[in-house]
Amino acid sequence: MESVISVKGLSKRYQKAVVLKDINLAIQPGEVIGYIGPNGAGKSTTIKILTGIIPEFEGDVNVLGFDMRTQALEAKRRIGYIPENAALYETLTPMEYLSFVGQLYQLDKSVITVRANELLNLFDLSNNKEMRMTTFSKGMRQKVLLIAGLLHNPEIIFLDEPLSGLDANAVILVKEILVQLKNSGKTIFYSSHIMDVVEKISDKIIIINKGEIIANGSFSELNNASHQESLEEIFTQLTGNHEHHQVAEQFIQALTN
Amino acid sequence: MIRFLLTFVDLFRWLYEMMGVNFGQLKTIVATKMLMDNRRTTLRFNQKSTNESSNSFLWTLAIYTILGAFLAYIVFAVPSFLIAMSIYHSYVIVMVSLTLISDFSSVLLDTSDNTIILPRPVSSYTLLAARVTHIVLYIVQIMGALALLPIIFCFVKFGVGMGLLIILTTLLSTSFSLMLTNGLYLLLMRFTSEEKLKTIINYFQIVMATLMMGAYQFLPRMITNNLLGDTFFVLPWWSLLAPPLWMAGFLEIFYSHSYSWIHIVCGLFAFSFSLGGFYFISKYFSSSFAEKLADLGTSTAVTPNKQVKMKSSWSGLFKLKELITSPGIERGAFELTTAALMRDRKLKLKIYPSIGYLFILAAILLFNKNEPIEATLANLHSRSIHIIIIYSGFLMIQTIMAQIAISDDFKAGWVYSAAPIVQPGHILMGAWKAVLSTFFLPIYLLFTIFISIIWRVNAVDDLIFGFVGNILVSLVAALLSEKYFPLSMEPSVKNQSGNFIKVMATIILIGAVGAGHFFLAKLSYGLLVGFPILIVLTAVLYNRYKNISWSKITY
Repeated sequence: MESVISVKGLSKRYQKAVVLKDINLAIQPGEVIGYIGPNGAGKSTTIKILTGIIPEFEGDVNVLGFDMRTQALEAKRRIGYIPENAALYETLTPMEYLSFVGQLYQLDKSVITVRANELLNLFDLSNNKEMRMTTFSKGMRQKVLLIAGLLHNPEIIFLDEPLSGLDANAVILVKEILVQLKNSGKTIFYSSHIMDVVEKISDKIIIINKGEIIANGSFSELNNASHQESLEEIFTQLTGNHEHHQVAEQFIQALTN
Repeated sequence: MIRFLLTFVDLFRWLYEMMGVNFGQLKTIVATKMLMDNRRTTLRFNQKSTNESSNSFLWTLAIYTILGAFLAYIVFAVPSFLIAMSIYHSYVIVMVSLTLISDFSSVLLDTSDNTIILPRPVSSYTLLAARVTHIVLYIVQIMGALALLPIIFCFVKFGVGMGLLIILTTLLSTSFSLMLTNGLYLLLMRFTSEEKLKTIINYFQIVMATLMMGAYQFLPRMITNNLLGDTFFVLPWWSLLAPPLWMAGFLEIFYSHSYSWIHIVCGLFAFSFSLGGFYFISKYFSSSFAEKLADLGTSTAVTPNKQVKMKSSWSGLFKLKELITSPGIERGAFELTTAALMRDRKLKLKIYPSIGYLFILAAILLFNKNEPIEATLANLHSRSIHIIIIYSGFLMIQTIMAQIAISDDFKAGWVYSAAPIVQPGHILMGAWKAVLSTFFLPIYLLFTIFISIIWRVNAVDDLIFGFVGNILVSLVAALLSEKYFPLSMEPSVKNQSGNFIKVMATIILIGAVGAGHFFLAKLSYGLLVGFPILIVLTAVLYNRYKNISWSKITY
């Protein structure tokens, strides 16, 4: 089967700092990819390159068969992106913002209105849909971002920390939405710090550290290779941060000194 | 308004489509950005509005129209054509440049497009065209408001032909301002970091706000100035260094048929710098601007954490703190407030223009007479005007005290409630001392130097008495006003009823203390007798403020 995301020899540097080093990926249609790594590992940069936000990189990147260096616009029509920070025009109301985003995808006005209303209602935002988002909590903004990323019914969905700031009910709802999207054949590229969610919903888990991929496989494959019980333990072992216990001890010692 | 301007954009649909721009997407982006402009908190309307229908941009345009009326009056009243046109074009260039830098820089340097629009199927041509269209429409509105009345007056006073030429030079001046701003940004972005760029823009905003406040005072007064009565003003050689004089010189060719070399060169400069410079920037630099802008938002490279160091000139303040604050809560509040006063850009934008305005008012107070500056300075010592200058320091303390509680990070104020603080007055005292030592002391020192030069030894007792008098009044004002901890108040809470009465009460109070000072100074040994009473009163109020209990605090 042809990969929907194909990455060969991807590298990215900012001046002298190397952010990504020789990344190779082949994602099949309908797969859910959990992309994890410590802060500054290169997760967001990878996603920004795959979604066409950063057009300058070394190597070959193809999404849905489109070369992301020369045909990013075609790919963007068919992918959805939910960024890490609640980046939206907060002086707008949710309806105004979703209408704006829908029009950029050249969706029909009536389609935008119906879909936006339905999705806002499902996320308990129907009472706030005509209020400016300046007063919204982080979780409320994140919900609007999720809707904006899915409004045009994309084939591949890139999510960068989508659960950050959401309340417990919304987290459960988003997890369920991701499962349903997976069942309907969508490809999901999911970056998160919340290991148990990644562990549960991902077909494949990719761990990146210091710009390099250090593990790539299903949870059971990683499990067998590392002899660790949970994804958290696998992650800790592979990223070299296994001195947590010692650091915690020193922390307490510093408090009591 | 938005609909009207978009209809205007519709006229150029063929041009956009010829350039490969997706016109539907362009209109969506421009309409949304204009809607956000209307809701953006501008420099002059700083308060956050929660009213859905508020339109701060329309208010901004109204202010520009009023400024335009002043300009129209200058055009009408000033007899020298060259001077009138020079003032008009100076104002256009300065206002457009400063507006672009101060109010519009948040839009020009908006990196949120990188995460909001770039992931969507919008081509870079469409996004660039939408950005340029948005900027042009913004300037059209600002220029329309500022130049409409003066241009109408020009048509009436100088005739249709000159009126049309003035429209042309107005457009050239706008183009020059755009080039200037664009060039400045490119220069700054090339040599400074994003943070420094923001700081520099912050200083421009402060200058702009001060200029706006000062303009209302200075513009009407300029009419009576001798220079404006000069009907025989001719273009000096240095006109070639002053862009507004290029425009005025060019217009004078047609107005009085002056064909001297300087007029011709002015005309050439007006066209070549405005249009040529703009062409040069758009041709060679606009792409690097867009790239740099994209870098601001998307660069995730790890940068070494620079330690924020206090400027050496402020280090004296940190020695002072050990002298004037008690260790613990009070010193903590002092340090927090001092850091905010020095670093918080929004706070500086609210405070610095008020201080600048204070100097403008002082200048107006001193030099308001229709006499040469030398004569004013020579006669100054015979007037008791220095007492007004001494007590104007209180206005500054009051302005800063009113702002120091307000912060966008007001939620961080939970620490005051969480910490085991028995006497919250110590926090208030620390903040009050920070305001005094950061701003009041240095500026009072400047006043002291100026007053000592003019009034010499006669004013020493006034300066000492006034110093304590200012402290006393600021303590009364602090005790009268609602008590918030520093940086703990939500910006929108500021506009509460009852503030006007308190402001009036403090103004009456400072007037009373100033008048008391004035009359005591008239009596022999008056100040000497009054001084101990002043000290005792100040000490009583000082202790009272320091011992304020939790029940008096709003949090």
